[in-house]
Amino acid sequence: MITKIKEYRARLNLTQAQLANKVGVRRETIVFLEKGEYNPSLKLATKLARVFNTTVDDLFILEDSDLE
Amino acid sequence: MNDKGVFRILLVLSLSLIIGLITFAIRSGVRHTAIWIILGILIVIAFLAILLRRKYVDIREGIPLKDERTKKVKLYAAGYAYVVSIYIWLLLLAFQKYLESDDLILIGMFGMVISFGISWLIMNNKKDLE
Repeated sequence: MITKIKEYRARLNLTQAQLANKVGVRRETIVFLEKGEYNPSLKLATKLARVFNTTVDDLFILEDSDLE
Repeated sequence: MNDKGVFRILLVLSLSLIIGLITFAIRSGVRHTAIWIILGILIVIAFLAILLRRKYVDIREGIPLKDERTKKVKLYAAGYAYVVSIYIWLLLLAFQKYLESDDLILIGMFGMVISFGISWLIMNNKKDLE
């Protein structure tokens, strides 16, 4: 899974802790999400997309291997 | 239980350990076994102090102590630990005639705790957790 969280976070000049605070998760969860090592729930994905004013589709890109 | 409640419980636990350690040290003097026990408790207290500090910083910054990922990690870890525990108890039952029943229960309980700890470590570092 490829995510653009790091890119969007840098654009908004947010720290990982600030983003974690905004979406109500732990900082470690943001670290795993940015590395594409955690599949978030639809609720969390939507929250993140709303913070960055984008869509879930744009924020998370699933590769074919992820769908197998 | 909310985050502040968890923090308070950990704080009380740490203080109880420190008070217990001081009482134990005064009563037991400088016996060899006592020194090892004191060292062990000191390690636990040091671990709790680090944990408490991290949780305190998180609470102050408004970051929750639990989220959907930590809940999933705990659930998966508990599941794996349960399976491992069954094998631990089976193994202990096979050796029951060589062990006292008290020791058997103690080893079994300790094994359950250790298996949960290891499972948690594995699950917490697992990639692609769903």
